[in-house]
This record gives sequence, structure tokens and C-alpha cells, in this order.
Amino acid sequence: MAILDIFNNEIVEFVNFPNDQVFSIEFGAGRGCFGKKFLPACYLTDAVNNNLPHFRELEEYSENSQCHYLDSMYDFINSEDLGRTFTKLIFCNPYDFGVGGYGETKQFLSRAGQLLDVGGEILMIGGVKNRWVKHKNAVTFYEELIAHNNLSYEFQISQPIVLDENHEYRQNHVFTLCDINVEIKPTQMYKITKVA
Amino acid sequence: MENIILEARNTFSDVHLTNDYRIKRYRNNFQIHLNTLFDISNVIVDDSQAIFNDTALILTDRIYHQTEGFVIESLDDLEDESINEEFDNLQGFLYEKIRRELGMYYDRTSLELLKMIDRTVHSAILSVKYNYFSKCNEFINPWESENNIFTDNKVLHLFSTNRDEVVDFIDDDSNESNEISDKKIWILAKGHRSDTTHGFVRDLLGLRNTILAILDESASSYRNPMKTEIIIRKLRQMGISQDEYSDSNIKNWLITPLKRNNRIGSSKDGYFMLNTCDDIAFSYGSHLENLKGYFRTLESHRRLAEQKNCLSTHNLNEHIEFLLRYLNLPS
Ligand SMILES: C[S@@+](CC[C@H](N)C(=O)[O-])C[C@H]1O[C@@H](n2cnc3c(N)ncnc32)[C@H](O)[C@@H]1O
Repeated sequence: MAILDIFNNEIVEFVNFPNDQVFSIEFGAGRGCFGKKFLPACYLTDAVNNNLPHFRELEEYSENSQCHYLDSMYDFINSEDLGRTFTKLIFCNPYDFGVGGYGETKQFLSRAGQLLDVGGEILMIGGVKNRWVKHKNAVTFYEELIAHNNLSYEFQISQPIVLDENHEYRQNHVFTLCDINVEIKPTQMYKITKVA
Repeated sequence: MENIILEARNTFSDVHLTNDYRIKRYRNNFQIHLNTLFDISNVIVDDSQAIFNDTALILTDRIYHQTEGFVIESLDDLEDESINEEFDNLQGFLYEKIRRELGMYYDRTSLELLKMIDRTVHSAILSVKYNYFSKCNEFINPWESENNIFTDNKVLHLFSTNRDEVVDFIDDDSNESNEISDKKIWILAKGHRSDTTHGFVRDLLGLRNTILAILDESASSYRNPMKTEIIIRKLRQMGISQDEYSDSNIKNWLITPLKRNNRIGSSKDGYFMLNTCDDIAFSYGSHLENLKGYFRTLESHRRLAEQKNCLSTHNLNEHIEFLLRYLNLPS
């Protein structure tokens, strides 16, 4: 069965990446389609793709078809700059990029700063035990970077919101680790807004 | 318990980074880290009925990090806020300590250096925190060996399966065959010097697959088993030297895990693929003979102990108790 977004429309592929009228982008989307499901228009990207592209290959698909829904391959850390900016960047359960440490946060926020409009925001979703998204890490390392004058952009980090199993993101979506077939239950969500 | 954190703090504050890059002991510690981490992940994957997708058959950065995350998230049940806060403090302390230790070599604009510090701090903190996980005694702490890279080998480190992330010039890797040359994890290390050093360990998941490929080609069934020595010789021909992995490393780290995970069968004549029912039955039969042999020895020991009246002071019934437990029968 086709996958519907929360507005009951079928999710779609954007073929002119990165030049469509699309202002949100998800990185590290893996096999998930979070951004396309919960936002009116959103690019999905990942550094790696080991699965079938469902938009092209299958007549019929469902969320269990083990396909990906990517509009493009894109490595958030290492790929060339896209030459444009967005109003929203989305990260669900990132591993190996994010706010894992001081240097990693510097790299992460510097890249995000390049890709975001002023006033635009990063949506971070994940578990509290995952250091790459953990709210506390974001706050600690961001504050330190600012204190050391070691970041070119200024951000504001919101308070975390608890994602319990009743939240629509958990009710209507299954997050997975990609290489170990196991469901991830994200427990926290917050925003990082680019102020300057 | 708090002593553990205090002790760790003292250990960390005594570390002085080395300026000697001649010996690459950090490689061994990193190899042990990988082995123990993946051993744990296999057990947890089994318990949680999750499965490694096929893509997980050779190690990539992506698989490493998902696996490490999976292991941490499965084991870390430390909820005590005050202890968690102490770990946050310890983390802050370590960052400061390392920056001070690097002194003039600390360059806050070098992402590579900053990420080496991140990885070093991460493994140091986890090596201590592991002791607070309720299942800590069921496994070997995988971050202890990784943390030894800092506390014993006295270097910072960072690693990647993607060579370009770690090494910016090409070594001449001489006599390695293609089957194994790209199955490596590169390690970048830095002590109290302006330059860095690097080394690698092999991807044992990938090498286990190399062994499967060797057996698949020449030992596809119980009728043509391959002896350990031949497997080892083939790996040596591909370029894995004795210095790098001794014969017993190969046996313990590559062959035995394949056997334990039901990937290959064995008899006294060697190893073979488990493709057909006959293969499985043959390997089973061979192990059954071993079991009978061991059992007879254990029984005759027990009888001897009985004759010599040792049974009141020594328990020589354990082999029976083991079987009963296994079969879930009352003893
Ligand atoms: C655990 S999966 C999360 C999948 C999905 N977001 C979810 O929550 O269901 C993490 C994903 O991050 C991707 N990834 C890792 N490093 C990346 C990078 N530098 N840039 C983009 N994606 C990356 C991996 O390829 C993997 O697909």
C-alpha cells in the first residue's frame, strides 16, 4: 500500500535535487521516510544506500518493503556544499555524525550553519543514550564552543520534549537501525535554531 | 561505587602523552576492543531476536557506529542522576586535561585533532561507566581495551574504515592480495608531538568471510574438509603475517567464532561448510564422539574420587549437574 503523509497525500519523490521548491531536508534518513510523512515537502538523503529505490523500482510498496525513499545520496559531513539553504534540517537517530563530542559538534553545527537560513531550525530526534543527538551534549558542547570563540554561527537550543509512545511520531512511524534489523524508540526531541 | 569514578579521575590525571611513535601497541588494544564489542553485539542480537542485515558482513564506519550504539543502548541502564552528573563532570575534566596535556600542540581549529580528542574521551568515559551497567559482569568491557590506548599507550586516537579519513598519504602496501587489502580499520594516533602516526587492524568480520570463501571453494562439504594449517597457510599467502596475527590469533579470533556461530562444521580432519543435512550430521557426529570421550573421562574421575572418599570434600558431580540443568530436569 502506498505510504500516505499526515495530510493523507501519497508521499512523492523530488527529481530535481537540490533545486525543487523544497525547503526542508532530512539527513541520514536510511530506510525511513520520516520527513516525507510529517512535513508538507521534504527531501530525504543519506550518505549510503543499500536498498532498492522504491520510487523507481516497485509498482506497489509499503513501509515494510525494505526500500529507501531517498531523493538523493548526500553525506552531511563530507559531500560538497549544495549551494543553497533550507529552513529545516532533520536528523532522526543519527550515528557517527551529530553532537557526539566537542569536535563533532563543531563540525556538525558548522555544516548546519552553512545549510540553514537565519531563523531556520534543526530538528533533532533520538534516544537519550545516543550521544550523537543527546540534548545535554548539544547544550554542553555548544556553550563550550561559544565560550572558546570556536564556531562561526550562533544558535539557540530549545528545551527537550519527551517523545512517549503516544506521540504521533511514535504512533505513526517506525524508526530503525539500518544494518541491524531492530526498531529504535526515540525518546527525545528538540530544536536548534540558527540565530546569526 | 563512587570510588570507581574517583580512581578513574586519578588514573586519567596521571597520563602523559608519549612522544615516541616507534611501537604501535595501540593496534592490539584496538583489535581487542573490536573483538569484544562484536562478540557482545552477537549475543545481544540473538537475545533480542534482531538480525544483522547482509550489509553488515564487512565492517564499515556505519556498521561500527550502529553496532556500538546498539550495544550501549542495550546495556546502559544507569538512571541515577547524581552518578550521571559525576560522569558529565569527569568528561569535562578529561577534555581539559587533554587540552592542557597537548599544550602547544593543541589546535582548536583542527577538526581532525578535535575528533581524536572526542573519541579518546568517549572511550575513557565508557570504560568507567560500563562498571555501572547491571549486566557488566556478563561480558568483557570492550571500552577498557580501547581506553588503554590512552592510559597505557599514551596516545589519542581516531579510527575509520575509510582510509582517506585517517591517512593522507598512500603507504606502499606491498604483498597483500586484493581479498584482504581493503578489509582494514585505519587508526590515527597522536601523542605529545606536532605530527600524527597511523596503523591499522584487520576487519575480522571481513576476514571471517574470506575464510568462508576459501572453504566454499575447497571444502564445500564434509567429504573434503580443510585442516587448520591449510587455512592459515592460505591467509599467510594473502599477506597476513605472523607478526600481525599469530596462528593462535587466527584460530581464536577467526575460526572458532565461525564454528560457534554455526557457520562452519568440523571433524578431526578439518573444517567444512555446513550446506547439507549430511554436513550438519557429520559435524554433529564428530562432536558427539568428543562429548562421549569427555564424558567417560569425567565419569571415571568421579568413580576414582568415590573410591578414595573425596566426594564429601570435592564436587565431582558437576558434569551430571550441567546436563540436568541443560535438559531442565530436577537434580
Ligand atoms: C540509525 S540510521 C537512522 C535511520 C532513520 N533516520 C531512522 O531513524 O529510522 C543512521 C543513518 O545515518 C546515516 N549516516 C551516517 N553518517 C552520515 C553522514 N555523514 N551523512 C549522512 N548520513 C549519514 C547512515 O547511513 C544511516 O542510514
